[in-house]
Amino acid sequence: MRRAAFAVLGTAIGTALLIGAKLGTPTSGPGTQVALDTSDDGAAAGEAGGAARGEPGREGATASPKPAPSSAPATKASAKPPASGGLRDGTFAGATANYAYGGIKVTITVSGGKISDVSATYPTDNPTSASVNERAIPKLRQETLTAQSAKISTVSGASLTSEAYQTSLQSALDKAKA
Amino acid sequence: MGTTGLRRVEQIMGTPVSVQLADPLPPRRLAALAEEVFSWLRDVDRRFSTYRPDSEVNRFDRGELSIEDCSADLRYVIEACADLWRETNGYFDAYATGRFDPSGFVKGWSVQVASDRLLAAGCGAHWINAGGDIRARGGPRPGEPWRIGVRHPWQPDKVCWVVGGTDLAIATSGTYERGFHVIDPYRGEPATALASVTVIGRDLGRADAYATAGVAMGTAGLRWLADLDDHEVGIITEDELCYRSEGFPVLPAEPAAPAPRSVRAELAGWPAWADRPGPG
Repeated sequence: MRRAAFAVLGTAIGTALLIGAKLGTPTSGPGTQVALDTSDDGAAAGEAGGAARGEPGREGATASPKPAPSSAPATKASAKPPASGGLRDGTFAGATANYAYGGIKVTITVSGGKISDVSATYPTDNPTSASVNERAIPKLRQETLTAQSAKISTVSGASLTSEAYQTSLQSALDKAKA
Repeated sequence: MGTTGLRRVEQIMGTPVSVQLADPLPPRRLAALAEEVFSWLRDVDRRFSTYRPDSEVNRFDRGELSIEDCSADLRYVIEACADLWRETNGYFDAYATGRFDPSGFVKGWSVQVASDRLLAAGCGAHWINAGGDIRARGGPRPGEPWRIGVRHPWQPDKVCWVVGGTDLAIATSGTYERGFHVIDPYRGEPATALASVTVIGRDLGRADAYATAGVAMGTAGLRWLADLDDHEVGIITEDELCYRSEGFPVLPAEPAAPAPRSVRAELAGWPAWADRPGPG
């Protein structure tokens, strides 16, 4: 089991920067989690690597997985027998792993033999980690979604099909202005 | 809004293309300029369509045209697609369907070219909207920016942002249109985490490709888009959170009351040609 947990740890760390970024954003709740489908572990790891391409966390992910101290992984919740995916159901916290920007602790939840949740924490009082946080969802300001009826000249929107055009705002404006 | 000038809509490349010209030019001159825009876009459609067996793109794809025999336009498009593939870590992929299909770049690029030609012809106040991707210059009146809505992902008759500008290329990609899928090339499945991605820059082909790539990246796209140089981004996630870059040029929903004429004339950016008689 432990080997399986650490096999996904690399995947999880790739994702962790993103989650950590959310954790570090004051306006977003700490409950933010990312679900991963690990039905194919190799593909999932490749995906996370692709997502993290060019990010410092990736080097950390490949460099850090040192063998876990036998006492480190805290296992709680039930210990059901492994499903076909090879993972036991439950919640598993990995040991704090050091990577280039500080320590990171990843917790996964497995249900039905698949990872259903991944969350990560790392110390925000570490100045290096904090700077990563700011860069992570970084330059973006978070807002709530609004629906406005505004005075506008035209509308930007994802490729409108001819069918959708009939009901679209662009169509309405065209009729009003042509 | 009482915009003067000319407005025309035509269906090209499978999508509605609207053109607004706002310069104080004679009506016949405006009509001729609009016709040049549509004529160019129809020409691009013929040469770059993947649905016409004899189009230049299809002949290149079948190997009947070598790269040396391609038109300068097609060579430019091929190179731009290759550059964008590298810049987006493969998330913008003209070969995603297993054949060369540059449609995701051609629409924005061709509108950009049309807008550049309008500007060169003395028409500096206009916008062109091709299926929701827009190149806008100048404004409806001297000193006023164009007000452009970003469509609400789930309410087609509402907007979630109004952005303003006198020189911008704005492209929105999203998962919300029926039958419209952006495939994550690494998983081979539709990407769903980002419902709407809007990218604002100066080049529409590039902005459009970045927006499409951002959607394909899913959650990781948030960070990638935020790190884009020289572009502003506005993102709406599937769980209805909005993110925008600091420089994303949002305007209030209602336009401010018009400033007195003397003040308006001092607003930066309105070019001297505004008072020049048109060449037509």
